Amino acid sequence: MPYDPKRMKKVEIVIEAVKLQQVLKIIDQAGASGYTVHESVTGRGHRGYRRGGGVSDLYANAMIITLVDENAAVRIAEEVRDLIQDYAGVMMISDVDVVWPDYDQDQ
Amino acid sequence: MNEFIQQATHNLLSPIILFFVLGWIASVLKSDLHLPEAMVRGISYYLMASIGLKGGMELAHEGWTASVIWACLAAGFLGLFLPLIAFSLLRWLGRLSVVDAAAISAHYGSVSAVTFLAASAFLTREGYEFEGYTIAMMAVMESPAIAIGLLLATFFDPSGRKAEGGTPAGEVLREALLNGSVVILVGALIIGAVTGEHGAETVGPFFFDPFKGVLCLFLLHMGIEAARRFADFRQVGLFLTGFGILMPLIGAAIGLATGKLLGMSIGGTLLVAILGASASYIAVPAAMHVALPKANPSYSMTLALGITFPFNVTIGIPLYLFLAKWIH
Repeated sequence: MPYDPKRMKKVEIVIEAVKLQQVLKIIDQAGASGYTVHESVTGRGHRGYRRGGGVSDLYANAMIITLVDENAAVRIAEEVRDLIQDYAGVMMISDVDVVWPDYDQDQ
Repeated sequence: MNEFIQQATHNLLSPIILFFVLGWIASVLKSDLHLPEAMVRGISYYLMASIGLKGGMELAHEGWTASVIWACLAAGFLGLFLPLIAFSLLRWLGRLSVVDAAAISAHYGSVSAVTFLAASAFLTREGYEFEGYTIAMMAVMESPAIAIGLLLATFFDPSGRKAEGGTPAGEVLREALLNGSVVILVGALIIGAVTGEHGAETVGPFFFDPFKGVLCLFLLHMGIEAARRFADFRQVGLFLTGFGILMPLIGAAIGLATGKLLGMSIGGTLLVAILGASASYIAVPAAMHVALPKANPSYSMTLALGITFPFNVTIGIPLYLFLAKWIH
């Protein structure tokens, strides 16, 4: 098979673990075909150092990576931007070349 | 009085408290000592399962008598009533915002299982019996305070919650009730009640014998976390720091009166005082943070974990025992 990558948007979101499910719902509703979740990530930001969970989930974080087209990326960006007003988090969007099997052809 | 000093010294010099102090010191000295997140979660489930089984077996032994039902009702009442006192103090004496006062109140209406475990270990060591259904009372008290915290916030500041787009109340309550620690505590209580003393024989070597050693490890972790939170106390200010000591004393007094009215033993009365005095830092912080995003979560955590928890396990337990003996 020839090397034929697809141009897509990579959306990376770091968010408080208590809001993980809500972010996944946003991603699903934007029409993403999938995502990857890192649990137990830690780091420092506007709200200080967030060490991750302990006895409480309050300081736990998660990171989500998803590959979508530009329209979906904009939709996700708008909704997640509202969410990170009140919760610790950051969102990055970049152009990437994605290599994966062409599932559409299988159908 | 001499006996009080003696028991307070016993408590301070017990392995459980010394491990707590060790964790605290390690954290202050910036040692790299820490338990991995997954281990903390695992240990806390173990402790909940153990105490739940123990309570369930005692229930099977004692049976569902009227006093058990009354005790559970009283626990529910405490869970609803204590946040109202906390809210009044915070709102009208401390001039806190409605959401902050409501969020903190919910923590103080709920309970700290680890404080309860430390107190029950203390009682066993000092040779006091206590009623097994106090563990059922603890399970009852885990969640009602969250509902009251939400109601207080909605009632006194209806626009605030809506404008924030806060998570629907039903979802918050569902998540609070289904919090892993609550589910395993209630589940183990039922398993213990169903299997009775026969169950104890088969799982005792795992769930009961190593219990106190595991509790020491957990307290080590609590010391590390408490020291980190305590470091934020300048941020919470003098009033809230005072509240972190005053509120457990008020809760303990109401708990002592409740235990006495229920006709419980000295040991049982102490445990009800602990239920009244302690503040949650397991299930409630995340639930209130989701429900009231505008409330500052570091207030609640600093108070519950950095001030009230250390106060209760070091001074509170022997003090409440002294008072429990005095009123009996």
